[in-house]
Amino acid sequence: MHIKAQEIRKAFGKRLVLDGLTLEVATGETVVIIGPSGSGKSTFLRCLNGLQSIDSGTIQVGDHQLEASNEKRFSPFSSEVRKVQGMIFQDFNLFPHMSVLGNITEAPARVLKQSQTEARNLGLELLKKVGLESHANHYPSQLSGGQKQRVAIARALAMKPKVLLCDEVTSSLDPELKHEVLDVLEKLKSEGMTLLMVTHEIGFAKKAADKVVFLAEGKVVEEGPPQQILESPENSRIRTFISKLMN
Amino acid sequence: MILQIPLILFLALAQTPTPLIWAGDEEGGAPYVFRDSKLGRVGFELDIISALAEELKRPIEFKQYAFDSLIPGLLKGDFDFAMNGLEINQERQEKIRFSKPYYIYRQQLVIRADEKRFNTLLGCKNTQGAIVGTMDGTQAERLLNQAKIPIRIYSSATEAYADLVSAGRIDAVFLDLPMAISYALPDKRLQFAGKPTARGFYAIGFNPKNETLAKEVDAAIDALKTNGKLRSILVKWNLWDECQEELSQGFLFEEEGRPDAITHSILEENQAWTINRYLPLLLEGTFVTIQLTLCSFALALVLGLPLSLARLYGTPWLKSLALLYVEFFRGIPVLLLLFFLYFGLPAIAESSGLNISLALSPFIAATLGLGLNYAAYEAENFRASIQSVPQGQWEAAASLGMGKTLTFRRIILPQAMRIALPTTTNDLVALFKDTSIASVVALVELNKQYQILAKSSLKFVELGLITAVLYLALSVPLGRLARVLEKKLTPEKR
Repeated sequence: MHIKAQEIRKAFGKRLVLDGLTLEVATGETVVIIGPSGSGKSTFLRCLNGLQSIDSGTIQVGDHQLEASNEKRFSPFSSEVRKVQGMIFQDFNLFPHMSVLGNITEAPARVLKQSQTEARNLGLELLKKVGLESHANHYPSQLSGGQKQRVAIARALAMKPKVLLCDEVTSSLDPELKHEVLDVLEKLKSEGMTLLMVTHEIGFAKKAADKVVFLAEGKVVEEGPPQQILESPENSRIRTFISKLMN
Repeated sequence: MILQIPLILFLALAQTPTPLIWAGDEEGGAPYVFRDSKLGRVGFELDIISALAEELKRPIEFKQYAFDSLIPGLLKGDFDFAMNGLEINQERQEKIRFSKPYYIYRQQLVIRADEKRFNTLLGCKNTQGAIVGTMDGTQAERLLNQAKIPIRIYSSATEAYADLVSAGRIDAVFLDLPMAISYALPDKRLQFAGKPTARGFYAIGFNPKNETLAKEVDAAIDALKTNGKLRSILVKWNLWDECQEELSQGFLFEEEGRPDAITHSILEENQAWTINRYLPLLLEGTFVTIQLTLCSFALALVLGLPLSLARLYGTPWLKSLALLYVEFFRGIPVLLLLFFLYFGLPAIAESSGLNISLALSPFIAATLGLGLNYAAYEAENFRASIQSVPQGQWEAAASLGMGKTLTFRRIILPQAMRIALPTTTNDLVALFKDTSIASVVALVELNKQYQILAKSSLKFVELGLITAVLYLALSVPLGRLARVLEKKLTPEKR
């Protein structure tokens, strides 16, 4: 699924967060966005998913268009883009009152109107994919962080998205749990999923990304293949940023 | 010069003996002692008191005291004596020392002027569905109970007659003659039915420890009878009748020691009151309390949720309306609301010439009042709970393609209910106890039943303990039910 964001501007009050950001993601590509905090990475993903309005610019996700709109009139529920795009959050945002399987089957059953059995079978299949088939009847509070994030991925996959937006999905996890989530994402990449990730996992970016984008002050500073951006960037700020991350 | 003033004051005070404190209830208390808008505090008992003060050569000061609490207050020593239409009866005689009587009361049945169905107590008893209003703790109430006539209990005569006239919720009022003379006689819409019946004595109540004072007052009352002052006071208040002639024949009271045959027979029956008689009545009251709690809380919940939604997601107009509701009903006392719903609405319907009766039954009025009030609290509780569900929950559901309503219903509301539950349960227990104020609209729930029984039997402690046990037997399981519900709603913690 092709994503094309052009000249995106977004301000919170007087603070300009996205300042004419332009970015393209080709179908099946894995793009990693890095950048200092406050550079607008998360806001950009949220705008792409229609959770946040944009002040100007255009976003095209496959056939779906996101228009600039007034923040007061904006509804995060209206976007059609969710038909092709799933999103994973840093804090998982699992539904605590539903079982693991319930979390996954909720949207397919209620939004896609799948039958209970259909949704259930799909849910179990996805749980198997993320290695949690034995946890179907657990509740989120009984899971570790890594397990929660894998359930969140399975929940997003249940809606059969073509693109996954991952917003710092390993930042809340202990180091030894990060790999179980990243492994799942690598598997999805190999199956042809388009991935757009905001992350600080330089190792993962080197191994799995097709393109790395460095963002600062709401703009793309530099983009290119991982080796170029991570090892010999043109901009000295990127070097400083990466060396800080490595330490 | 200036220094001398306190000295003079001191001397003046030293010369006046310390005043005696007299307790009565002036709330709706005509013609005994009450507030007149022009004259201030007046009443035939006040006139008798003034005459007594003259005889005793001591000032007597009035102390406002709830009628229900006169005897306990007297025994506690809050004042020197109680005088407020206290009827002599045996339970009271066992607790307090009565003076010589100052008035011979009888009971008067009052009906509406257009009443065609009956004009006697017996006729009333035989009229299907007829209810007689009276006051609790009175001989009239005992007589009606003894005759097994359906009654409704009011805490003041004003309310009883008002309900008979305007609301039509009752068919007759049976109360002491002075009240009938003062409230019903001037009212063209009411009439006296038959002659007054069931004689008894009003006397002043003393703490038995205060025998010296009681003797002095007895002597003073005798003096007022001899010099005709008592008679002229009663004549002035339109209370003098042939019955009162017996007052001066002091022997009648002293020899027989009992007011008269009718009261006597009631007294004998009352003596037989035991736990077997109290308990069914208390259980009946408990049942009313439960019904009232459940109905009014259901109303509070049903109103509270839409109110909280209007506050959170409504148009600006709806938002301010909901806020107005919350502020209004949280800001006024429930007691006032109940009074208004029960006594105010019929009056409004009448004065505005509406052709509909807004006379709510006591139960409906109490359910509405408590429900409307608690809805304001539940609305705020729900609003806070909905708001405390993390924003991420909305976003996660939105990113899965769920709509706003679906998200609210499936994701937000269940979590909000879990957050709201402890507060909701607290409110339920609070409401359960608040049902006791429903007695102001003549609803006999558990607490009222206790007061009625305790006042007539004077067994405050024993009945109080039983009543407390009944309340606890309900509120403790309520708390437990809350914990079970909490577990049910938090499946992950099972």
